[in-house]
Amino acid sequence: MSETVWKLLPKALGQQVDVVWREWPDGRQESCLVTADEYLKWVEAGNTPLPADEVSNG
Amino acid sequence: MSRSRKLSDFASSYDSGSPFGMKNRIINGAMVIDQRNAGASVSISAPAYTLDRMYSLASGGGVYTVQQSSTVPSTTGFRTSAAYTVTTADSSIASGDYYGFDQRIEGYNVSDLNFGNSGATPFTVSFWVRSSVTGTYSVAFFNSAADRSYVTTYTISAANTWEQKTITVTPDTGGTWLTTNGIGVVVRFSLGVGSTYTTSTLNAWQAGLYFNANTATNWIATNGATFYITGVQLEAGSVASPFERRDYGRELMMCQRYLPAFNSTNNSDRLPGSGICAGTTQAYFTIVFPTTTRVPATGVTVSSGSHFTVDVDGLVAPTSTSVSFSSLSSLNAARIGVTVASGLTLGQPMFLTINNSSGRILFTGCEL
Repeated sequence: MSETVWKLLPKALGQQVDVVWREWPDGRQESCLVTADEYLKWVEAGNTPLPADEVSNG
Repeated sequence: MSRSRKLSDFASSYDSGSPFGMKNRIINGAMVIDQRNAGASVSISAPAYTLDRMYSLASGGGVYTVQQSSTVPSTTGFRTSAAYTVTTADSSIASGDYYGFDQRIEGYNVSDLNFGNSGATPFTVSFWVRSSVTGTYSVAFFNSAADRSYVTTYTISAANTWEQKTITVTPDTGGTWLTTNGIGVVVRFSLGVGSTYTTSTLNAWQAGLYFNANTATNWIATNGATFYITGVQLEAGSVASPFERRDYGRELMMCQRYLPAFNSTNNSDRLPGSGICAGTTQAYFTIVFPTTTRVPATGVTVSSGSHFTVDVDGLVAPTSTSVSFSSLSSLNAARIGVTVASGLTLGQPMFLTINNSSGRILFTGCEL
């Protein structure tokens, strides 16, 4: 995965809103709701998240 | 300061509102709390929070660093400041670009100042500042809608010398000002701003968003320029009283309303909450926040995907490979998903431990 590209995560049990995740070169991992400001700004800049893996994470 | 002056200031502060409790509406004004970076320098080329509650602004090609610093005015009792250093100068700021930093004060914490009403109460901002670049600098105040603003200035007379500044403002009697958990007022310190947000109307409220004086110095134009600030206080009344020194635990708790965070102090910090394994590689853990947040968190940032251990009753303790936010969040807790390579059993209860002395977990989305 590219270090600054958000990736959609499979929905977990009880989860209403999609979550995205990304990892930085220094090892930091970020994730947030697709309604969070930092993700919305990234999308507004013309970016598209990677699709979620097919296997459910729970 | 003489005893009579102190008593006079105390009386003035008392008359303007309680001098006890939250006299200072600025949180982390002594720059003591740095949950995100633990004292490390961060490069700012786009807006971002740095020291707790301090929002750094950069929208042009200029770049600067921000770091918690031990450079402080002597004999004042301060131990830390926020240090800003230009690493890429912007000597020709585009009209819509800006550099600086601010604090967005929650409406609950300034509601007594009566912004937007005829009975508005004067407030006073005081701070210690030092810069390698002398000249006129701007401080501005504006509302949540960014359609009412007030710009004033202060002067740094001597390079690399701490000076204390005091500014008294009568709040706006017009406009819409929030008094609950939204932005009550923004206090912005400008370090280089384009023409769009620059005004010649100083020391008066006006419509629109302005946060820079037309006489202001362009600090960001000088590569290597430094700017330090500490002891920032905003209080009711027309007098700058001595800085309110809150105990560390309380200041940290106040910061965590906007940034629930856990910084490891060793390599086996168990996180507060409860969890359950959802399969052989996945667990969900609900972390209880240290204090009630302003709004529910919307995300999480961890120092590393491998800085956590899923501890299942001491029998197995696989190390995490990734950590993610898991949607279910309230003002008091949030659920995260933790992935490991193998070793878990569906339905087993689990604890979550930070396994690294530099491990850190920050919940995002609660800031203003």
